Parts: sequence; C-alpha cells; structure tokens
Amino acid sequence: MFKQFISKMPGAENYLIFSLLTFFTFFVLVGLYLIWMDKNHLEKMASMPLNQENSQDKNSNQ
Amino acid sequence: MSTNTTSLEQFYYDNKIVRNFSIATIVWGVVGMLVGVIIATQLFEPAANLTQYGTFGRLRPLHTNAVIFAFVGNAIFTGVYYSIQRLLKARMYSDFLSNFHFWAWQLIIVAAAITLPLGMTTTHEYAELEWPIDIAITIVWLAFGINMFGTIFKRRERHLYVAIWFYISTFITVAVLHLANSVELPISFFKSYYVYAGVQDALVQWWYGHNAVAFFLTTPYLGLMYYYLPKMANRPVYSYRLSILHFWALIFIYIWAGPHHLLYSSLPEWAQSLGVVFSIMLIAPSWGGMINGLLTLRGAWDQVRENTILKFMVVGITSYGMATFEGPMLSLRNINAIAHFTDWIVAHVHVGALGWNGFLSFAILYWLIPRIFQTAIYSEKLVKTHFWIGTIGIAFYVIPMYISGFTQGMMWKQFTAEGTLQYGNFLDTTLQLLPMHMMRALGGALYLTGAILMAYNLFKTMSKGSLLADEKAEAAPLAIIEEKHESDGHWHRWIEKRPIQLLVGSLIMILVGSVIEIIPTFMVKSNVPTIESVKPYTSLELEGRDIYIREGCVSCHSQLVRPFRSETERYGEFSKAGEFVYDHPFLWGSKRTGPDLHREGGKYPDSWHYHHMREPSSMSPGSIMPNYAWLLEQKLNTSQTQDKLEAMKKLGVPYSTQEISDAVKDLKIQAKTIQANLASEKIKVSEDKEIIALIAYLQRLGTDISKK
Repeated sequence: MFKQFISKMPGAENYLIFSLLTFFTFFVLVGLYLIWMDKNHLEKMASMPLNQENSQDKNSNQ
Repeated sequence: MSTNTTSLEQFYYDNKIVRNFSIATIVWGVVGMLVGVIIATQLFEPAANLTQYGTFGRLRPLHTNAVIFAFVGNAIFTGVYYSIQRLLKARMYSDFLSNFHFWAWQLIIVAAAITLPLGMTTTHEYAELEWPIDIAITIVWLAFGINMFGTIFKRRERHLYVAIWFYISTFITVAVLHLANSVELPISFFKSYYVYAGVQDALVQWWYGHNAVAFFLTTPYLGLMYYYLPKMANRPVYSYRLSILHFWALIFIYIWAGPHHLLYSSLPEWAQSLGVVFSIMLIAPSWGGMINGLLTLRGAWDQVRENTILKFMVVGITSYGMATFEGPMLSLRNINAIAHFTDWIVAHVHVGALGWNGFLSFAILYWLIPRIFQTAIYSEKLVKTHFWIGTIGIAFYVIPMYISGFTQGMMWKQFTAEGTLQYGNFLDTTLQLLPMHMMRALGGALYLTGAILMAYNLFKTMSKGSLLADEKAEAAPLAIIEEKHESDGHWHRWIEKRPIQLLVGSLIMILVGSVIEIIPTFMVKSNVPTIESVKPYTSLELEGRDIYIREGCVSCHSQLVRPFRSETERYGEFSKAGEFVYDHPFLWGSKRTGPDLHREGGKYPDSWHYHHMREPSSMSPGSIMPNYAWLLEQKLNTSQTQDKLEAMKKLGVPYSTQEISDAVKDLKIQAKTIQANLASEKIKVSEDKEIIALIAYLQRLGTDISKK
C-alpha cells in the first residue's frame, strides 16, 4: 500500500541508520553515566524527599 | 568553608497556592467525570443529547479537555507546587506568578467549557481550543516555567532530585508540542484553519497527541510518584540509578512513537515502521518506572494492607504498567488492524486515565490536604470506600470496553462463506455493543461516585483544620554549600545541579526524534502524487465542512478508508494521500462509533441526508446518532465565506480571484441546485439553511478520484 511514496522517498535508509546510531550512542552514554555514579551519592539523592524536615543538617553535613 | 560558619536562612513554603490548585483539581475532576458519564450515556441513549450545545460531538472534546487539562492539569500543579518548594528548600519564586498561573489556568478552563459546546473547535484532539485560548495557554505555561525556574535558581539544595528532572522535561516538551500544533491562520476571533493540510496535519497532530499523553499524563506523574511515594511509604525510592536511566530513555524514545497512531494511513511506510519499533522499545523505560515504583514498597507491603493511600498508589502504578505494555502491543500492525477505531482504544486510554492519573491524583490529595490543614483526614472509612468503589468502577469501565472493542473490530472484518461482508450494515455492529456501553456508563458512574465521596471528605477535612498558609522552614543558602563540592568530580553531577543543562538536554532528546519524524511530513508533500481530479471545495462545501467541524462529527466518524478488503468492500476505494491536500484541518478521526464517511459522496440521494440529519432513526432504525433538527432551521452564515476562501488561498489552496470574489454568489447557485433536488422529492426547504451546505459537503466527500 502507498508504495509509490516509499519508493520515491530519497534517502529513507539514511534516516533509519541515523536513528539507530543516535539511539545506540545515546544508550552507551547513559550506560557509562550510570556505571560511573558512586553509591553514596546515589543514596544521598534517593533519600532527598525524606530529609526535608531537617534540611539544615543535611546541608551542613556535606 | 567550614560548616560551622554556615548561617541558616528562614523562609516559608507557600501552601496557599497548593490549597488553591487542590480545590480546582477536586472541582474540575468531578465536572470532567460527570461530562464523561453523560457522553457515555449518549452512546446508548440518543435522547440524552440535549439541545445542539449538548450533543456527543460537542461534549466529547469538553470531557477530554476537562479531565486532561482541568483535572490532571490542576493535579500536576498541586503536586509540583508542593514538592518543588520542599525539594529545592525555597518558596516559589514569585507569589504573583503563582497566583497568575492559578487564576489564568482556571479562566482558560472556563473559556474551554464555554467555547467547546458552542462548536468553536479546531478538531485536533486534545488541542481543540481556538487560537485566542491557545495564546493564553502559551502565556500561562510560560508563567509556570518562569516561576519554576526562578525557584530552581534561588534554591538552597545543590542537587536536583529526579522528580524535578521530570518536571523540567514536562515544561519544555509541552511548550514545544503546544507551539508546533497550534499554528493556525485566524479567520475571526474564534475561527481558524491549521496551516498544515491532510497527511502533514495528521502527522503533526498525532506527534502532538501521542506526546501530550507522554509529557502531560506521564512524565509529570512519574515526577510526582518519585516524590510522593517515598514520602507516603517513608522509604527511599528502590533504585535512583534506574530512575535516571528510565528518565533519559523515556523522554528520548517516547517522542518517536507518534506514527503508531497512523498505521495503514498515507504516511510513508518506513516512518510507520519506525513508530512501531520505538513503541515496542518504550516498554523498557515505562516498566522501569513501574518496577521502581512498586519495588519502593518492597518490605513495606504490610503498610499497603493498612494504608489506603498506598493502595491507591499501587493500583495506579500497576495501571501504568498495564497501559504501557498494552500501548506497544496496540502499535503492532496486526493488532492495530483490529483495535484501531474501536472501543479497545477507549479502554486502553481509560486504564491510564482512571488508574494511573486518577488514582495517583487521589492519593496525593489524601496525603497532602491533611498536612497543609494540620489535621487528620475527616473520614478514613470514606477513603477506603472511595478506593474500592473507584477500583470496581475501573473494572466495570474497561472490561466491557475491551469486549466491545474486540467484538467491533472482528465484526467489521467478518466475511460470509460467499465472500460478502457478514455485517454489511454498520449499524448491526453498533447495536451489538449497546449492553457494553451501558456497563461502561455504570463503571464511569461508580468512579464518579468515588470522586464525589472524596470531594466531600476533603472539604470536610479542610473545614475542620486550618490552613498553614506559610509553612516555616530553614536551610543554608546555596552559595555556602556550593563551595564544598571539591570531591564531586563526576560529570553527571555537572548536569544534576544545573537546571539549564537539564532543560537543554531534555530539549535535544525530544527534538532529535521530532525532527526526524517531522521532516518526512515535508518530504511527503513533494512525494504525494498529485491527483489531477482532486479540486478545492466549493464555497458551499467549505461552509458545510465547517458545520461538520462545529458539530464534532469527527468524534464518531472517520474519513480514512484503510487498505483492507473488509474496508474497501464496505466503503469503497481506500484513501489516497493526494485526496487530502486541501483539507485544513484533516478530519481522519480516531474512532468509528458510526461508519467511515470518506466515500460518502454520491452514496445516497440528497433527500436521504436531509431525513437522516433530521431524525437518523427514520433512515437507519435503531441508530444512536442524535437528531440534528436545528440544521434544518438555522440560516447559513455567509458573512465570512469570502474570508475563508481567502485564508485557504493563503494556505496554498488554489482558489482563483474570481472564485473568491464570487464566493457567496456561487454558494447560492449551488444551494439552489440542492434545494431543487430536495424539492423534486417533496422536501420544502429554503436554500439558505445550514443543512444545504452540509449536504453539499457530504455529497462531495471522496468523489474526486472517480471523476474523469
């Protein structure tokens, strides 16, 4: 169906390859990002919503 | 700098704005759901279509706008205004902007509630509001953004918690979506035409529609989940690492998946396939969020047994998981071929809306209002009742809709052994579904009852407590904290504490997918083979088309015959991209409560349409379509006809100067022909009535390609 559009679409493969490469590169970067994160920092970030009541302690204990 | 020299600053959280948005959420929630129950009733009881301002076609956009932008919108602002102040340890940047945001947003909702029943609509789903309201939305959204970023800049917490990442990406993406999908050429104060036409218009709209679900109904709620669930369960999120991974993955992948709304349409096949591939990939980040939410409750399931607020959260997050698994499945071509245009999609949407958005909003309100009113909830028992009645309501809503959708899809495709359509009369399939529609209305009514109980319970809570309008807090200023981060060498921290980088990063992520998918719409234009016989609408047909738009016919009738034998047998030749080049806006629709109308032209005599619009059941016994008797009485307004043709010409429709200057004269000549046709069948009607224009449009639909 509607094959006439697809066959006339110039550079359709380039779009697909570019999309795949963008996607792949992006995930490699995010993967590295996560691997390099240190655990203490993650824990600190995760507990952020729970620590508001004593915010001054949290800030001063950096 | 040594910590002991740190001086703490005192400041106050603004709870009044949170209270205001909470009340708006409750009120608009009940209103939006009530309209939902009314339109659900109209689908099995046509007499429930009261007056021309209360038909299904006009109320359906009112329902969707009310629940999305009024209920969910206000719920987002409630949750964001409460959480962002505390996560950033700062009062909102500007009280004026907070109040301006609140009141202007409510005014926009009131404007929508007035204009949509009056038939002032652009027809783009979830973007129906006309151009002046679009401008107002842009201004208010900007005010929200300035207020949010102003607060971020004056924060006392160096790192931005992941919930704020979700809020930032919501802000920037909704802004981009709204701007791109609101490019209209005004004709008058409440009438405009989209600059895009046909296939391009369809792709822009569904790029918007799909991502409005992503960035208005999903990302802000994930942000809210990441703040409120740990607060409610009193434990940190299961995996902060996972939250970051699924944040970036979600905002990157979501934007690509829009074309799955246009499978089997005139969109290039590779773009459709790209949409499908990314839709499947979306399962991963979506489930990342669901798993992270549910696993936050690991070891705390005893709390869930006791705590009704957590029960709401669990059902909400589970519904999110169900809907985000089902969405990618629905984008598979073989499933889409059956499900598209049926109640299946309605079921899918409501698992997300009632379960995810509704239940999370309820949980947040129940958690938050007693806190800012410094009291306990008025009735714990009513909260429990609400939970169960709401959950049963969801089941009563979605299960019949799944059965209905599947039945409908299969019946449309059923052939007899002789090779003819088993249910050749579309109405046979509609009538089969009525019991399911009744059960759905019951489910909706149960859900609404729950929301009314909540409204009563929360207003009672407010009246027994007293609002802590300005909540005292203290924290060290950011400048002091900033000097002590010498050990923070990792580059990810660079982004975690810099909102502008986050904003730009989010923008790039969504623009990559958008650009790659929007470019083809322009490519398509140059590739759509011109169909020589396709001509612009005559002035009378254009006026008829605007009546079709005003009455919201697109809510129930598609104009897109897909290339299936079951559809070409039923409707005729499948739709070609070249047929829609003058359609500003496109009217393909997304749901077939009634049959497709793309090949309606010439199928019946003018008199059939006249009688059918006056009383549909006189021509189709048992029809659930409402009567449109006012079209027979109301005079066609031709004061803007010439302006409309001129506007179309500006948009590239090849009207000649002569055609524009003679617009009204030509309109009258064509109207007289239709009047004469009707008179020959003993129908007496004057040629200046709206029905004449509508008949002209319906008789033109899809006929150009068969002209020699």
